[in-house]
Amino acid sequence: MTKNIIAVKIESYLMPLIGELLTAGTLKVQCEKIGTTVDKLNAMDLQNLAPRLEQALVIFLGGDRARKVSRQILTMSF
Amino acid sequence: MKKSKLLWIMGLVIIVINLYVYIFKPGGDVVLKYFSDILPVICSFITVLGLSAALKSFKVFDQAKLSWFLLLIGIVLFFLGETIYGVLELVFKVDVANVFPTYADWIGWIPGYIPMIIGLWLLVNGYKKSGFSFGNPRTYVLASIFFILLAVAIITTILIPIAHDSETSTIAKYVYFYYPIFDIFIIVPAVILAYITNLFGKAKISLPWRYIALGFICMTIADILYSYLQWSSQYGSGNYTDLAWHAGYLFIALGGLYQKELIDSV
Repeated sequence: MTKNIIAVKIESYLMPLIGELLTAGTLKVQCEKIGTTVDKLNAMDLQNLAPRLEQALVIFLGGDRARKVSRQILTMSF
Repeated sequence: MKKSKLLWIMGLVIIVINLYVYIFKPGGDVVLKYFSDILPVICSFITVLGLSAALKSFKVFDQAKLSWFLLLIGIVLFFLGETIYGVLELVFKVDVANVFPTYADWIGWIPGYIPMIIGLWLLVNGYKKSGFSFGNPRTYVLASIFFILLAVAIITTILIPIAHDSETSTIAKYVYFYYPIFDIFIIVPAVILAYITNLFGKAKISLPWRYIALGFICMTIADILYSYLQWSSQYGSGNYTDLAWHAGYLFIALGGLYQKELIDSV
């Protein structure tokens, strides 16, 4: 598990929802896609990361609730 | 109490009563016939309610909602099929064991497959777009081999004997072929969904799909057995194959309720 505080917040939010394995895997892959790593994730990156996670969750939760998750992730920089 | 928990209790009661009636036959063949015709109507209606609850919880009409909508349409048609079958046998006294296909097939079950297959494949396709892991490719190779073997087994044990049967009408042959072939189109996405949900572990996002997949797997097994039993005149009221259908319906209903609870929890 990462020690980056933002990543820890995202992980603890997503873990009950999508499980430990896929949280770690998805976060790693999506961070790579936006040109960073889980350990270097910062508040600015969330603007790019949140919509990607939203897109991933749409099929499970529908667009409305996936957007809610995305908005929640955006607040994790504070 | 959560509705899903209530359905678990109700479902277990239904299955236990179902088993009791099929094993001990209290009231003889008449009770068995009524029970065998009415229970699928009740179970499929519960599924309609479960999927409707899931559908209502989606606010935006996107691919996720479309998938669930198509599953609901398919189950509504199956419910119609079960109802028509029961009415034909219990009200109009049609000898449904020897008449095939019936209006239940034409109006309910045959058209019901199409939206369900599209709905299941849309879920798999939506998952593909999500970017989540599809798991180990080797598992898909092994699963493909299994499905090829399954298809060969179905063709040789069910379809070829039916094709060569001179007593079966051409139209009946087409319908006998239709069910196992379309069952394969259903079981493939259902097994993919079951495997995918396995990757999620105990995460709550996986529960709805897990039960949807389990339900369709149960129903497909029952369908394949039914095709063979019906053709060989071994199917009748009180056949244990019914249990797999009932369990299948109830699992799909549970999937619907878990989906609603998942969305409400976010």
